[in-house]
Amino acid sequence: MANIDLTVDTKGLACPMPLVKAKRALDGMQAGQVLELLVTDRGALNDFQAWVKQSPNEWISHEEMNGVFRFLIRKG
Amino acid sequence: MTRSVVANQALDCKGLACPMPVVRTKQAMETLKPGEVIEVQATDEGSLADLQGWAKGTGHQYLGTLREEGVLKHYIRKASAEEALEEEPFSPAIGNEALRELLESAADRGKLTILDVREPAEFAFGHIPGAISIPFGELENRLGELDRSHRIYVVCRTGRRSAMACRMLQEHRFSAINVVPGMSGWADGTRSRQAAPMSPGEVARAMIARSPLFILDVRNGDAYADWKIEGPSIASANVPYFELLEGVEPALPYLPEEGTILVACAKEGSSRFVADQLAEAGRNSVRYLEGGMKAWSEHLEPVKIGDLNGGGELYQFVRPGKGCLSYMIVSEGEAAVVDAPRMTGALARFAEEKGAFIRHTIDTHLHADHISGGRKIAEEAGATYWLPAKDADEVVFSYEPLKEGRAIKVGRSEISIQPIYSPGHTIGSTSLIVDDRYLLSGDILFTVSIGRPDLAGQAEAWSGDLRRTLYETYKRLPDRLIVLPAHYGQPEELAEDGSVSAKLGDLYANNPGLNIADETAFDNAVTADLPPQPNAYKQIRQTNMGRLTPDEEEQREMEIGPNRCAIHDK
Repeated sequence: MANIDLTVDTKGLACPMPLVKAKRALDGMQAGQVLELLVTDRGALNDFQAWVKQSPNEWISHEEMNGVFRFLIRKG
Repeated sequence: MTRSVVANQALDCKGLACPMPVVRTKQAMETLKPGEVIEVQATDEGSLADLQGWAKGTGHQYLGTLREEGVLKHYIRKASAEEALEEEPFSPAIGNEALRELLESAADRGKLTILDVREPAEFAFGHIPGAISIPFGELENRLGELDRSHRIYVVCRTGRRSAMACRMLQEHRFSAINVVPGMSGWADGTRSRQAAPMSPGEVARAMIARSPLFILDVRNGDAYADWKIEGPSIASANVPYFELLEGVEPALPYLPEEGTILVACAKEGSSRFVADQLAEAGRNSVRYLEGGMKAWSEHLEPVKIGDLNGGGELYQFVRPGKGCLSYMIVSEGEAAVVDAPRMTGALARFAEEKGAFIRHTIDTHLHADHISGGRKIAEEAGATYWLPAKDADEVVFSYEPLKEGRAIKVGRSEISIQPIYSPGHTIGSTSLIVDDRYLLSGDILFTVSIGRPDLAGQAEAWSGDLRRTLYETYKRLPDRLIVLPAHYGQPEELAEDGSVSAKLGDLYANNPGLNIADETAFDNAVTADLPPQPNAYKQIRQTNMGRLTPDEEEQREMEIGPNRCAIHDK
């Protein structure tokens, strides 16, 4: 279980805001730190995975509970 | 542990945007006694900072906020008479016009900051050029980003949130000036440039008219590769929106120098974000797809096919986002709908405009590529739902069996719908001859291809049926019949008026699927090397049997992607 360094809650926000917020949060983090994102936008999972893939960051995991997605991303 | 707070009054501000939660709270507060607590329920994220700021300014005590399922519950205790402060407009203030003049006199520009304290999404959709965005709720922690030597002009939507921000800035010894009323009164001409929407209907009509259109699709690459807007006059490029958040430069090399650019994404938000940036970068004729690909996948474009005996009319509904075709036969105040999509509202409205009651809904077969709206329309309109019995073994609802020899009448002058048993795509597939002139062929025969027999897992068993239907049953029908299929594969199949049709005789001359002389070669063509099956086709069949009941969002996702009902749809 990864230690979470920062949590960003984007529940209720529509695309593109979850990604805008995640990007801004990662900009302020150190390499190796872990960002937890809470997202309710259903289209976000594919978008985030595609985005992380072409960034230096690393996708750790995702899960969904009661309509809330939780993504863990390690800053690269 | 569940926390609960006892409030004397609950106030519902859900769905209201700034400044309404504060306005309503202020009104409600007047009916409370000092010391009583109000619970303000709001969905606007900005309401938290607004109510905190407002309470601070008026002397009421902000107790805290609970968050439950997307609703913010703010608790505020009413101040006693001694505690209450008079809420005064913030001074200094400046009107929108005066600020605009100031901005235009470049001499002063270097010594002032425009601070926009609205939520990021509001800022994203339009702001004063050069303004910096710090939402009010984050301001206290981000004061370090502001230049103390500047005069800070604070703007929000109405002047209220910005007034609270000004007070905070003043407490921290900034020189703050409130802009009144702010963005709600900022004239269009000088506001940052915004792209205009383009509706799916406009896109469909551009496609039909072969008008040039360039689409910048900002969905992620997989979504674009799987399914996009295409047409003979449509070109597109894919640059995911997340590569364009800091600037549109990565997209510029792909854009044509002239003509309209339509930015498209899944639901609209990101395309609007990107389109506004392109417009702001000076690009002309930038539009965004209203409702996104989601709305595109559901758009229906009605096209009149022709007049029927006794004043009747036949309409085709083209669903360009999916390649599906549905039909409505209207006669003397009655209507029959054939192969209806799940967007039943559009069909019901169309019938109403024609002054017709829907009496019959007919599915030529159990669909595997789209969710049928036939049963739903029938329930809503009190109509009869017809389905071939051989496709209905597993259905969990009652229906009227669609059967050869059992004509269906529309209107008093009796437009006749004559079912013809034509298995092959499914074992029950039944075609309809309307008014002795049109052959509604379902998914058996298309204008450039033929149906596939494999979507219920019975390709080998059904390919013989398909051959008999196409090479014997249909062959016996008059060549003059106009074939109206339930699908098309390529936008090139759309005629100048947007319709899809062909004379049966012409299809026997030109359609490759009707010209495979050798039986083995035919079996091969319809069973081997078929295109991939439509997205979620098994679940769609289950849904059309009534055995699955996905919600609207799930239905939409099941239908996403290209239509692949013909053997040549690759």
